[in-house]
Amino acid sequence: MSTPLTAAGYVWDLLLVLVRKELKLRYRGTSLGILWSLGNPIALAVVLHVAFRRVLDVDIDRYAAFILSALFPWQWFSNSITEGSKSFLENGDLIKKLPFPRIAIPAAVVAGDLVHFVITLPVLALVLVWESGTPPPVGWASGVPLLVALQASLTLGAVVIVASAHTLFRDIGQLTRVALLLLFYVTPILFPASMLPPDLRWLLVANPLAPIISCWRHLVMKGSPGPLLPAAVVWTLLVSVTAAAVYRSIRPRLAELV
Amino acid sequence: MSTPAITVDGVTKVFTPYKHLQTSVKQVLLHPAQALRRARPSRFVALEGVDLEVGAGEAHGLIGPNGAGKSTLLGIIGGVIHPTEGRVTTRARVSPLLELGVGFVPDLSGEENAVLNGVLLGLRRCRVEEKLEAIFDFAELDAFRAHELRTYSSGMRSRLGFSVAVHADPEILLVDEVLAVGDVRFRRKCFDRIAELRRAGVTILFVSHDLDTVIDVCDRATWLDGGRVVRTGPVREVVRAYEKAMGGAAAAQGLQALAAPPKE
Repeated sequence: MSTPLTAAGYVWDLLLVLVRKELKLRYRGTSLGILWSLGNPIALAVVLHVAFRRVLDVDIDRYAAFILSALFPWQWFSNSITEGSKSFLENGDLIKKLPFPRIAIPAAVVAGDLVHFVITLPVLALVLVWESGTPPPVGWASGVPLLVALQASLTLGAVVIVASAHTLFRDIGQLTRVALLLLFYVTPILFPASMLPPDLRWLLVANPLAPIISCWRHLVMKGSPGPLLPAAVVWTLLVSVTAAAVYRSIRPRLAELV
Repeated sequence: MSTPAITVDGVTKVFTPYKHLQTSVKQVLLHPAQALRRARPSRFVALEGVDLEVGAGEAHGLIGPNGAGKSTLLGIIGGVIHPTEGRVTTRARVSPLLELGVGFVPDLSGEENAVLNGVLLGLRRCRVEEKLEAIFDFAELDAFRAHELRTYSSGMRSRLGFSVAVHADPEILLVDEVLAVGDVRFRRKCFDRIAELRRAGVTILFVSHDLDTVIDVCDRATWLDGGRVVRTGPVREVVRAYEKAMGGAAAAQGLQALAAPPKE
């Protein structure tokens, strides 16, 4: 019989083969393979730098690093929610036929996007060097793993909740797209959090995503996760606990719902 | 029989289609009356108070007409479906062989698919990789290991699916009408492999409409109808009683011909 340790090893294997499947399918037949995932971030960095520094002359210090430090983690979250919300439904035949742990399906989506996010980190470091002439602060060494772990849990929790709801209400798919659009603009990604008028400051902690995104920006620009780290931890815990409850209640019925 | 490998104890399964929850928001807004009517959940009793014991190392057949609840029972024993009432205890690792090659991805190679499938069936990755040689050897697909699965014929896919499943170290093998794989020669090979697994002490629960095969493969059988156990016992007795009830051997032959899978 299996011990918890071998069970954990098995879930790891499961995750690994599912993520590898995703990545292989996405870059199948391309000669650059996963390096293509650098294309978008690099193009974005160049555009931001040239358009907003040289042409429009925005009054924000190190503008490309400023935007990208929040945009890359946002893209991770948003891609995972978009792909993950339909992940239970899309894998209906697997869920109906095989008894593997279902959580592996949304987890593989989040892990796949995590890989893409990690690939963007060197781009971020280069942009920082390019704009400020100094190497990334030492705070990255501990800050990056901490924030990656926090955001992975937060994102997985959100994906599990959305994907579970999606099996019950098919409208969730459309609703998610609208919600993501709104979330993008109420989260300080294109603007600094300090730009929010005092009467709207509560948005920073009322929005589950704002604290972690602010932490990323603070880490990249100033070398530490900054004052919103506790809020990010609290939101991650809240979302994870809710997701665990949702998953527990949906798991036994999942094969009938998809 | 020794201690049971599978014990099914008073299992009832009621399906409540979740259609009532899947009505869209639009439905509720535009046709409230209709939406309300739909919201009344319909219930479908698939299994009712089913008891079953399968001894360790036994090959047990499940027979019965379409809609008798055979696949639902297999799904419950396989841990995919949760029973509404009652419980199932399995004493060993269950490998559900409910469908060959479930989860195969056309754009990955045969080898990548075998690894993916093996892990989904419950094996550690390194274990599947060790067995790749044997898997492709048995499936007679050595030359196609690196080829993408979409270039395989449906027969080749089934062969690969069957081969991965029987190499997945099963202790309890649940087989749902999937042995009609490939040509006559390969089918023979599959049955030989099943017999080999039996000799190695693997418990087999076998669902089929092909009664001759059930007699060939199984020692005991259970006849299900309308979600209830009609009869359980030595395979020949149960099959004979079932054939009689279905309107004699001739009619059973007809049914069998209908149930036979399409030729490739």
